[in-house]
Amino acid sequence: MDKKIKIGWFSFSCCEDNTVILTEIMNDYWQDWKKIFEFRHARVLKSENILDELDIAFIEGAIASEWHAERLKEIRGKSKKLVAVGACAVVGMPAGQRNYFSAEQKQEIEFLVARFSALPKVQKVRDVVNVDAEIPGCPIEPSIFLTAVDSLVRELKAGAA
Amino acid sequence: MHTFDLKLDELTKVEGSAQLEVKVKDGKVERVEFKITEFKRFFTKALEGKPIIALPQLLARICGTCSNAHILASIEAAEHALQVEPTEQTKILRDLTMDGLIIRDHALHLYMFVMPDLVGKDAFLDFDENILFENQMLHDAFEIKAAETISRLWLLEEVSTRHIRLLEVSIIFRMRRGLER
Repeated sequence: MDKKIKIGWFSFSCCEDNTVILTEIMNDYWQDWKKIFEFRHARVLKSENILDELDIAFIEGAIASEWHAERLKEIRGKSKKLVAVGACAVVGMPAGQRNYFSAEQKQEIEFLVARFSALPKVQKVRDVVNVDAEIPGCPIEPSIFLTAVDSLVRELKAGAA
Repeated sequence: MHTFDLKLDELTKVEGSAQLEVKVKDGKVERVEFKITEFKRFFTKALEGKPIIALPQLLARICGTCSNAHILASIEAAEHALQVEPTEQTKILRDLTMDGLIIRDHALHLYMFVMPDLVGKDAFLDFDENILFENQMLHDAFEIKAAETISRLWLLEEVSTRHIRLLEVSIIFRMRRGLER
């Protein structure tokens, strides 16, 4: 397959450490990735981002608002593979720690949740859309990420053959 | 004279999520609003009732880019509360950890976020390996960024902080030399 694999990298509610790990992995793999990947939508890396048709969408972060959920559904609709990356995306934590607050704590933060139109309960990616793969870790372990990426690339190449 | 409103819904090449609105009237900036569009994760509230030993690891998750700074600040706060004095070796190891963070963070910012605008390209990975300067920047960026990891290896070999500070100076020197070319 000569065509480059179109990658999207999206961040929702989180610390974005998986983004940092991505840029750290690039220290060793940037030359390989330049040849095989087209970063079509990656706000952290570029300004001219296009969301039309992605081969792999990587999602980090938990879903904290209606806007997040709508955006995630749009990405899902335009991506062949969607991968939840890191603990917040996979299990909703720690970004969703308010889900586990005591009744008293919840009452104390209620006005802030309402003021910023946040969802009553923070959701993990799988709560909102179908997920093709999940890469756990807080942040992700580079070797696990690379193994998952290799397997997705193989699947996409087999599909295109 | 220029009069316009500028609104950027999603700032790019930054860590985190933000918007920017600028109002310009007759060539003068009248109003600038920088908006953080992150959703609250309530770390302060989440700390209540947690064992003190759990705090640094949780607070590191405030920010992925500078997680080491949050770990070290919260360890220091916990030490103050408990009146614990770390050993000299621990203090040096913490300094090195911070130096490693600064090397990586500054290299990420300067090369991957800022450099594309200076060169007139959208993304750092769009740099052309056939153009000497751009090729040099590509190699420099990832090598220097990786120095953070190397600094961790140096820790094991008991190399002093001086070496890492020298590396920081060399980053600035190489950046300047590169821009002058």
